[in-house]
Amino acid sequence: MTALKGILLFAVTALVTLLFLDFWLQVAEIQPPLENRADEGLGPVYRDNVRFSRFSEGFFLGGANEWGYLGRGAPRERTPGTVRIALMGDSFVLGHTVFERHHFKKYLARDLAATLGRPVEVLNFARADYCLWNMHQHYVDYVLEWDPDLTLFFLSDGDLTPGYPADPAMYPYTEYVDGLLRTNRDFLQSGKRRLYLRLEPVLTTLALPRLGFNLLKVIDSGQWQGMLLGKLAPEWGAGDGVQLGEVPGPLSASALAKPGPVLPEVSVRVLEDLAGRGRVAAVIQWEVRPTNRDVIVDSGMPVVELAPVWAGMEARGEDPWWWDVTGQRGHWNHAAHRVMGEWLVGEVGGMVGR
Amino acid sequence: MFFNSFIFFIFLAIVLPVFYLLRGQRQKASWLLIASYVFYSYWDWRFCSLLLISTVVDFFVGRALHAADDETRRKRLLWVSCAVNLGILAVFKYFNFFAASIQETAASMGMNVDFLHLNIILPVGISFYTFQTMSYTIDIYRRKLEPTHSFIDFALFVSFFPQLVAGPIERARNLLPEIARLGKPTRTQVSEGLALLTVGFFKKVLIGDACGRIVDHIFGQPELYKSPELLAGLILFSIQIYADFSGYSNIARGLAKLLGIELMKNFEQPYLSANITEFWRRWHISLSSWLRDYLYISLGGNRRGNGRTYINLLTTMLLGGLWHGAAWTFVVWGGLHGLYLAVHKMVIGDRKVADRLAYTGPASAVKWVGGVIGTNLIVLLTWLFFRAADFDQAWYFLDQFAHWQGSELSGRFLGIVLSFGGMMVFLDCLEYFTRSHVWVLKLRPAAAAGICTAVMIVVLLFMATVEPMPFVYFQF
Repeated sequence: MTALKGILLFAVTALVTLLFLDFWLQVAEIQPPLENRADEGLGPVYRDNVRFSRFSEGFFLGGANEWGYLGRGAPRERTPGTVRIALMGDSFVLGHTVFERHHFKKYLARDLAATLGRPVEVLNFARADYCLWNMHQHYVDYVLEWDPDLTLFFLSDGDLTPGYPADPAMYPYTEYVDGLLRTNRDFLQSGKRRLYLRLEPVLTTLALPRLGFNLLKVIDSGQWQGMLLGKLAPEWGAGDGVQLGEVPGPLSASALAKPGPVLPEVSVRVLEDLAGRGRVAAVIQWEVRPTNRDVIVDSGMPVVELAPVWAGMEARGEDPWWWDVTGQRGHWNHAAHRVMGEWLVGEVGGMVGR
Repeated sequence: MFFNSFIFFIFLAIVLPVFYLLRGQRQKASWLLIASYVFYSYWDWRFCSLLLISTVVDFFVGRALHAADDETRRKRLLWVSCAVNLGILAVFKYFNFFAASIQETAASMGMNVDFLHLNIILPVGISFYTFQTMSYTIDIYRRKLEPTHSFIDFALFVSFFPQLVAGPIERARNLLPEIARLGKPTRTQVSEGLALLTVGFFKKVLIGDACGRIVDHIFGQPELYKSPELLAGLILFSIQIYADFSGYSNIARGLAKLLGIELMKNFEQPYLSANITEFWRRWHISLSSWLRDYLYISLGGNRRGNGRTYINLLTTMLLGGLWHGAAWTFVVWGGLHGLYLAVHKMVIGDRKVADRLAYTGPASAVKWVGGVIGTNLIVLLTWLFFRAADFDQAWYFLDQFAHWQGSELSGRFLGIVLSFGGMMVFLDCLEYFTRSHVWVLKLRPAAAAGICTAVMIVVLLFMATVEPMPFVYFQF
């Protein structure tokens, strides 16, 4: 009986302590719970008004608005006279590495407003891991409701020939079947989504399961050796620990010179569809394979190139992908966001100023 | 090897069982000595040679000092010890700093002395073990200590891995006898050791490192942040450095207890001090008492009148600042503390300083709280110079505080600061009012085990998914 009481006391105090620590991890913004909810139409999207922090590469302290997209938002109904630009892209455009005020959309909105003499709002609908097929589906099924004057699709090689598509077990995407573009919603039947839905109340309330989930990612990605053995681990890279995930950045010059994977027809059709709808532009994020550039240009969409921005920075001795504080290469850094935002003003000003 | 890394847990999983299996003091001490050198060489094996030089020199100087009767010879021997240890420090820690200062001064006079630079890295923990081993020879010189005859014991005293790289800076008269009677730890030591480890890891990993992530970004690029965010960064640094260093000290003491060794306390809730003198009795106790015993008293202490006392305080703290790091910002940090201490000494005169709250009614509590807040504010200012990369950055912070510019994220930062600060105050109050660092053991064993288990689960989860941060004091 005494032993049983001891076990019970142990279990209760451990549980209470875990719950207390979970609460503290959240209020101290050390670890937020899952910020997504599983939407039937779009897959995982931000929960309304959710706040969260990120510390990989840069420092992000922000959240989603009441309409479920990142940053301070705007309602669907537009204020007359306001120019509205929508952003579609992946984690680079999403910008989980900088405060919202340092995101390129802020520089774009501020400087474009000054140029046009009209208020400008830039809405960020990007999602991490999105490829062109996901962007198209999201655009058609959701973003068009917001009636943007211009939607910028940020594209790179990987978006056209996805090597890292958003998980098809969790996200819908556009596919090309029998000569038609249509939305694939197989994710609604996936076991992973069903499990996600079952766990959602816990994952979106508690922070500790999220830490456990991060641990699974470390194990799954094979980084557990580095975590356990430090610099004794085989093929050790930089640092004495773990980096979650990989950032699919620009290809090297030698990779660009090689022929890439065969372009799926759906990518070509999606680009044509977007071009046909109008009020869209493709922003080529960095140097891409010539064949992929040709496809984008041939689609008829206006094209904005960011490669000159990065070349200019590199000529000035600045590295747009380098994070001084964390000593990592990854997404665009603060300087890159600023220069890019200012560059885009000149490039897209004519598209919305008409 | 960081305590907050899994490789260290693997290291412990080998060291502890072997230590428990070995019989006899000599075997145990030899094993711990090997383990300590392995621990140090994980960082950079080449610098084990410095450790060995300090050890060999001070072991033989200590014996010679004890044997010598002639005062001149004894002084010469002490100089040898000081010259070797301070020489190592001077070359590896301060050479480039002073060379750069000379270069700047020379450049201002139109001279070029660019050749003065050594391409060396700072050996981890060099300031700690050199001070520790110097205390051995100084104490023998002062005839307060008999030298040990066991080289292994002495080598272990210098290199004992739990406190090798960041203290507590132990005195030979405390640690050598502990090593000489190495045996099995008692049950009390084991339970206290585990409790200290839990609290230490919690402070280091979940408070120190989590604060540090924000602090590094804000101090890394302060021009990106607005006044409230910069202030939050500074306050978070004051929390980080305390959590980091006191957490490390707790882990060091806990590990030592698991090996049957008692190390001195290094922190006694310093942020609950009601004045600056009390703060220095509670902050980095092993260093402040070292500076008091071997520097302040050697300078004359308070025995030569008020004026000299103030100068001695200022000198001691200036050098204490320089001990932390080879930069003028650390000198300013130490100088400010010296100034505070001198002013406080001037104000209180010969009155004794209370070492804790003596509650005699609400007025005493209000006065105490006022003292605590005031002390924290003046200490906070000094942390700016401690953490800033240079004076320009420190002035930038001060300028932004003077020309306050609001932030849309003020509320978020306030919440973060209150959460971290609240947790530290909570932990400190538990220690302060129970007068124990192992307050959790005052609960029933099952409850204490439940709390410790839960805390360690969270700590390990965090460690497994976040890049470990080095201890702040490793750089010193």
